[in-house]
Formats: sequence, C-alpha cells, structure tokens
Amino acid sequence: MDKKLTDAQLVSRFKNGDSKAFEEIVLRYQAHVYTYILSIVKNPDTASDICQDLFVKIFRTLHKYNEENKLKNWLFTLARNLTMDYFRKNSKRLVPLENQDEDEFSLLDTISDNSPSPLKVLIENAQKEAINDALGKLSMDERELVALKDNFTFAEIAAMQKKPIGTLLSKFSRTLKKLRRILAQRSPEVYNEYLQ
Amino acid sequence: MNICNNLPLYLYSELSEEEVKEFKQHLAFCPACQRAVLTFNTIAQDKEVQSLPLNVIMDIFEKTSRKKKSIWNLAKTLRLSGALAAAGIAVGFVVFSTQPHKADLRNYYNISPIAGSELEEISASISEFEGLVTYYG
Ligand SMILES: [Zn+2]
Repeated sequence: MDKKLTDAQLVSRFKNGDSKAFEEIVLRYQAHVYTYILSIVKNPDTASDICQDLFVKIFRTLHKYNEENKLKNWLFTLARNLTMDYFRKNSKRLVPLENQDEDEFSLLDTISDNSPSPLKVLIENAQKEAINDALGKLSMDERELVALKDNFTFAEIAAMQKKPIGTLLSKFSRTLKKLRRILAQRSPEVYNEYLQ
Repeated sequence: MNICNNLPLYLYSELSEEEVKEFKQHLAFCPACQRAVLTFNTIAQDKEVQSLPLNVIMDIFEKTSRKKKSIWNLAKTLRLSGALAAAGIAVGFVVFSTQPHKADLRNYYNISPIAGSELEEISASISEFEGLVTYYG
C-alpha cells in the first residue's frame, strides 16, 4: 500500500471495503499510541491489552466516523478514555503504581548482553535508566503531557483537553524543573555530567 | 505575559520566527530558562518510541480480519514500517522505565530497533513462532 496516503484517504478506503487500509492505520499509529498508553500505565502487558482493545474498537466504529482529518486526535482521545476506564476498574491495584519503584537495574543482565562494547553499553544503559527512572517519578498527568508532546503541538493538546494553553505551558515547565530535581537527588552522576 | 512561559514552545519549535528571535535574546540572560533547556536536552537524549509487541499486532490483525495472515508477510510488513518509523519518529520521550538489557520476548519482538540488515535475526526469532506458523499456515 502507498505509504503516503493521508489519514483521510485511509479512512475513506476503509469505508469502501479496503481491508488493507485498516492495517495501514494500525501500523502507522501503533507505536505512537502504545508509547503514549505505556507512559500512563507503566506496564507493557496492560498497555498492550489496552492498545489491542483500542484498535479493535476503532475497527468496529470507523465506518461511522466522519471526521477523517482528525483520526489521530480520535485515536489518542479514545486511548486516554480506555486507559482511564482501565484505571477505574482496577483502581485498588493500579493507582499505587504511580510512585512505585521500578525493578532494580541489573548489572549481570547488562554484562551478559551480546554487545560489542560492553562498557559503553553499560554507561549508556545506566544513563538511560537514570532518565527513565526520573520520568517514572513524575505524576501521571505530567507523564501523559510529556508523552502527548511527541504527537501533538501544545495548541492541539489544549484544544483536545479543553484547557488554556498557558496552563499546559506552565505544567510543562514545572515538569522540567521537577525532572531536574529528581535527577539531582536520585542520579547525581547524570546530574553532574549534564545538568550542572 | 512573562516571556519565560514561551520556553516549552521554543523547545518544540512552536514559536514564530519573530518569537524565536525574541526568546533567544531572553534566553541569553535567563538562568532559569537555560537550566530548563539543558534538562530538556538531557532527557531528549533517551527519547524513544516503543513498538507494540509483534504478537499483539498479530492479534489485532486476527481480530479485525477474516483473512489468514502469513507470519512471514507480516514480519516483512512490520520491518518496513519499523524502518520508516525509525526514520521519521525517532523522537519520543520514554516516560516509563524500559529495561532494554532484559532480553524478554517483548523486547525481542520490539519492532522499532530492527535495522535493515537484521532479517536473519528476525527469522531466528520467528522460528520461535512455529506453533503460530502452523496455525496460520
Ligand atoms: Zn526565562
């Protein structure tokens, strides 16, 4: 299939019975949507389940969808709703995840990796780990905003969430400050190297 | 309005040319904004978009299509799409803790890191899908 088809063209092909069009929609958006959901729930299995639900729902309702140009917005809005539904249903078990510590960084796992340059990988992994650890310490709202920013402009997010753009901008700036504080506290080596 | 508020728009290139000029002049004299730029760039070094595990994509295709799908065709399609994705969307915050050193299946089938010359690796991993290959015929 032509990779350059617009979302609107894909939706219209789908409505005309072209099953490849739906596969193309899945392939086009799966990584973006999955990364977004994962940023909120922090659990790959849960995120996979929600993502699967999402695309099956899209498949079942796409034929009556009339705003072809806003497919991406629709996908992310639905992703958010399904994720929040999931939290509501599993609130007791899942809410504490927000501040739960992630698994310990395992030195052994890294060394046994078949990498050509173990030391370099070790350093890169430690740094990546520190940054992901810091991102994981953000509140759910902050993580979500950061993830949405990879797919939408601030103006688009403001329109989707019906919030003033100024609110989102302040929140984003606050989030950066918080990340800096977290890195200073939890990963002084990264802080000293990059943020001093 | 306080010009510091424009910082996030500056970081994501969502300012007009005129506003960028204005913001850069501000940046030269604002330690708070300088720190924020530094933090943003540090975090951005580890930006990454994660792909859904291959078996989940297969499940989605299976649930939305009556046609049986060859795993080989799917792998080819995904590899192509992964390469395109890597070219175009290699910027995404990882807002969760990834553990790339843990070679669990999920990461193993993770699509985005697959580079052009790694078809052999894919075929090795796909041999683990033998049951499915039989099923999908
Ligand atoms: Zn400033």
